[in-house]
Amino acid sequence: MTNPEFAALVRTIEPLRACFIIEASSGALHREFRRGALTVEPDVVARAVAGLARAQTDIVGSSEPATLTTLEWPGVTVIVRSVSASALVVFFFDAEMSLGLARMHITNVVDQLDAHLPVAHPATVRAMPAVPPTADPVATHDVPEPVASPLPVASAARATDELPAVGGSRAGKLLEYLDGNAPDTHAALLRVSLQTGLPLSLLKTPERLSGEEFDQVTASVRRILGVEQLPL
Amino acid sequence: MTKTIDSARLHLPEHQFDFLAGSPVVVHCHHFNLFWDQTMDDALGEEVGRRIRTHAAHKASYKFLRGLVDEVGATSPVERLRLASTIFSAMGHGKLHLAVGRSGGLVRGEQLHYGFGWCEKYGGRLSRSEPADAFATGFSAAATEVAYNLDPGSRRATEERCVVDGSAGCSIRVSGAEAEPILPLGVDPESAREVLPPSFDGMHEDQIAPIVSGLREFLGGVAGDDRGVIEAFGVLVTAHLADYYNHAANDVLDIIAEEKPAGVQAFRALLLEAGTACAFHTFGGVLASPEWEGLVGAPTGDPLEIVIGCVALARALGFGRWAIEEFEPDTRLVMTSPGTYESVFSRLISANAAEGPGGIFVGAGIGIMQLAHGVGWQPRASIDSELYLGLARSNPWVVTQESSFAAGDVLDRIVVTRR
Repeated sequence: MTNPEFAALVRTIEPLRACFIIEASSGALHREFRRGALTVEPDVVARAVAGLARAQTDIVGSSEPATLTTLEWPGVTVIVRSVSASALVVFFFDAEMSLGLARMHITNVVDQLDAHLPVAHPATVRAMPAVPPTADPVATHDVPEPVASPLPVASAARATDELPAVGGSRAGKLLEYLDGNAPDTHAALLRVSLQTGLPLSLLKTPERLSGEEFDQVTASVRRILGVEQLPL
Repeated sequence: MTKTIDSARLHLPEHQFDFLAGSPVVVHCHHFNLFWDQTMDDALGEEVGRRIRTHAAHKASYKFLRGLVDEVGATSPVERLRLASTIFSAMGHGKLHLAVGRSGGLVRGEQLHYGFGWCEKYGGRLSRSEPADAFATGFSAAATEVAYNLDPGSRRATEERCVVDGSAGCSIRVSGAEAEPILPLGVDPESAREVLPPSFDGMHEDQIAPIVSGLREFLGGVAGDDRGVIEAFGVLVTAHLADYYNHAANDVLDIIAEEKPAGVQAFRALLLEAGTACAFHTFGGVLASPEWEGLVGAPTGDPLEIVIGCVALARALGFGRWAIEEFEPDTRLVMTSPGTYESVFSRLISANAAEGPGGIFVGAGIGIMQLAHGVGWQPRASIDSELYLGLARSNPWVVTQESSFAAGDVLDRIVVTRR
């Protein structure tokens, strides 16, 4: 994705003043979009945000791919979305923008960016030392490369999830995955039952599902999670 | 206009129902509303589900708006459209800019409750392409018809843009294309009075009655803000047309009973779940609020105190005159009502009342017991989705409906016990 393509993607979000993709370890600016003047320079923002991400990593101990950090400045809400171990996306919204809508826009943008984010370099996956990003020669010289997105899923975090490696049939694992990811998860199996018309008693013994029923359940799980494919 | 909107309000104290312009009005939060609509779509698929919901909104809104313009004496199309937009916002559904002529037009929506609520609740973790605002869509068609004295169902509305897919706003197209006649039936005060049995007292009425009175006074002053949004008690609140929920659920039930009978059990269970979520989020949110503390005092955590508060809330929100027949802490709750806004609809309107969908009264029984026994109220409870999920997954309560007014019994009666 070229920078003009990136700008075209995010320009449609009217309350968005600016948006940057940043290489997490170095703070290098990967892509940028600005609508009008900003009171701070993108490079300054990029370095500051990368430092923030490193601090977060130091505290948490490992990278959490889908974290959001929200900063409120006069007239603007800045949301930093960590989308992988190597990439951050920084969104500058008008302060009037509700956080729920902002999160929704972010999810949509990240879904579309997924295939174009900077790839994780082995040297940058570890927790970063608390030094200025420009002092890390490996990260500084990383050239962002596209990484193929395995799934067009609702969130980048979910895209990297995998079904449990142990226990149960394939159908059982599918329903376990649903249980772990569905909104209102306690009601998820009932929703599958209603969508498919399959009795709850059958869904509770997934090893009894026929091939056709399994396909129905798979389609239902995709629908509930709002994804087109599952990490089977 | 010769009268104000307030003149169109009617309260039936004996049965704790509220009417606005002859249509029953209840208060529900976005958790309940989204779950309710989602269940309709789960039953029929997003496309058909949305059509049924829009149709339900159209029927309920036509009856409501027709009554409203008559009550307040709005005669010109401009007056009527302005009135429709005003009441829509006052009820917490967002803002509608009804730029419609006799043949239709474009309606712009801002902060529409369902789309806005979906973004608030799910926007950070799910994606969605199907528009969410079926209620606003049906309402827009009805507003056009009422404004220009057109036959109900002569206009059709479709939501063309919705914030749930990332659009900056919502827009609804109203036209005369592919319109189909509708019967704008619904519950009205006269028929409700005729069908409902005399009311009766339960336990602790001396404590419940003053709380209801105070709540009603407080809620009477709550209305949509400049955005047409009511943010209160940690939720997005709407005053909603009860006929909308009832039309939608009954119509969906009719279809799946015919086409997908194996799904009926799950459909009923999910409506019950909606009732449980309503009790937890709305009742719980109010009980934990500073407003409640000012009105009644902060909950101490005594289970009886919570049950009393919830029953008072159900009455104040227009759900019916719920009463406590029996309560044994940590063990059993029996609630009765001479009718709820659901069972009265089923009795009066449904083709097959005995099999009516129900949900709110029955599901709320579990939600009330969860609030009474599963929430730490001191020093201050945090009523949120995380707590709800935890309680729901370890729910020790089971509910049975022993009498159903919809099915012809003399009252509604539920019993909640431990599994």
